[in-house]
Amino acid sequence: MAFTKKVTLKSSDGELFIIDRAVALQSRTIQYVLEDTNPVDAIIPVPAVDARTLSKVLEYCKKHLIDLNTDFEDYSKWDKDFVDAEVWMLYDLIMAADYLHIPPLIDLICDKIASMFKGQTPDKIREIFNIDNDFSKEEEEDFKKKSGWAFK
Amino acid sequence: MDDAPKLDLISNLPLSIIESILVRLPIREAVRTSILSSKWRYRWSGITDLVFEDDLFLLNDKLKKFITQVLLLHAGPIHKFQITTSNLRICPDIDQWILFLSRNDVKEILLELGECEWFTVPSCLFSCQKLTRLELVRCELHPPLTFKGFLHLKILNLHQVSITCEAIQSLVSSCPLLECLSLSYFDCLALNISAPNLKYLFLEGEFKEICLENTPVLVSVTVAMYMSDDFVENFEQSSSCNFIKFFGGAPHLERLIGHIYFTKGSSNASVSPEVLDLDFWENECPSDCAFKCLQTVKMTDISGLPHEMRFIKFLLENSPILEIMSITPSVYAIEGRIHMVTELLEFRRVSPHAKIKFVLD
Repeated sequence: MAFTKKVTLKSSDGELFIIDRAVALQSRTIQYVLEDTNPVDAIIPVPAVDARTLSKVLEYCKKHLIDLNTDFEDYSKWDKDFVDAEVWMLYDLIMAADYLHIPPLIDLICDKIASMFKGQTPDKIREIFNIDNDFSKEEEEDFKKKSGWAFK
Repeated sequence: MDDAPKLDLISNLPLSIIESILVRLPIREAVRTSILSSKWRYRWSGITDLVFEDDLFLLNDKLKKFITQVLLLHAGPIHKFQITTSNLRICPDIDQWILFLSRNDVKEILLELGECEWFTVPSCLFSCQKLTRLELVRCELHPPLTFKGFLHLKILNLHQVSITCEAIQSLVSSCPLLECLSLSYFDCLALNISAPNLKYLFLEGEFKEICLENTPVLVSVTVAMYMSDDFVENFEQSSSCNFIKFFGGAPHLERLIGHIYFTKGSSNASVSPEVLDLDFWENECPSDCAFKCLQTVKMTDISGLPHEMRFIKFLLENSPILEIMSITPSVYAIEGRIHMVTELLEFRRVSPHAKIKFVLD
């Protein structure tokens, strides 16, 4: 069996994840760390991401390693299921993907979040994402009136 | 616990991510996020791609006003400006929008109005010097005499665009970085293409002569030719030089896709093999030209005419790394199919990996 190099990541809450280097390299942030310091057997801290989120991110990275046995359709189905998650999970995931710099994962979650916006009323969007509406009723009406070109 | 304010799960995401989300929404919905809360009021205004597509709520005058307002309120760079909708009639506003964009270093412009709306592209478009992509449908294009070219343009796609042959040739040759050129619904008797960085070429229309004058890095060519009767005759008489010029100018061609629609019926009868110089490939093709990189060939609407078969034979004999030669017979050539297959099987293939695929729908 081919020898595969391993990398150890440490989540913000102290959990260790030992993974293939190729999996870790999908994160540009980690790629830079590895290129710059080339730590042998060292532990790379990931202070912005907790264990629950990190394990989910790594699940994505493992799946998206180029796998010749998986065709394109398999991916899209898997991806769709992957982001079929609660909003707080998507929030944690996209923050982690941003910190770790994994552009395809960011795109995937942005697609999902955008689909949650589509066709919804402002009230519904506020409810889904817990957005606090700090406009007063009057302000909101006034704004709508003045921006008739967008709201009528 | 329940009374504690719930964590806002979106408003505090990095701005770049918020913009990535907003840019995925239809632009009207993106603009309407301005009412969510004070944080959201101007967030949409930074989106770099302004795409106006068909929207039932935005018809003609409303859409016109909407686009103008979006441009007025927009802040920061605009990378892409796209109008692809049948809900907008030609109006002077279009010229003003493009003028606005030309002062904004816009990189991509895509314009397509409804079926009946032919607009004349304003000359200020030619001062959009940062353009990397230009796609226009159903319009008239007259580059001004002073136009020096789009120095950054990589993609040029013109569909049903009225422009003279001279103008298109000079436009193409004055875009030094052009990589992808697509001309469809185009009739131009003789088209010379000179584009040192061109990789992908798509041509659809009536052409009598296509000459790849200077296209050293071209890898993929798709040609769909429509030919009328008188056209066919002319074409065949001059075809030898055409094809030599065609392939001589593309030494790195990897993919060749041809859909050649001869006028069915009458013209087939009028094509007499005597007119054709069937040896022109061997005689005139310079030895170093052609197909050392050619991997994929797809030909559709093949009727089994001698010059077609000769061309296929020539490709098979001169493409050392060919992998696929896909032939789709014309729907009108039902009786000749067996004959065609038999003939194809006899052809020598210089590439050991060459597969011939005979595609029946």
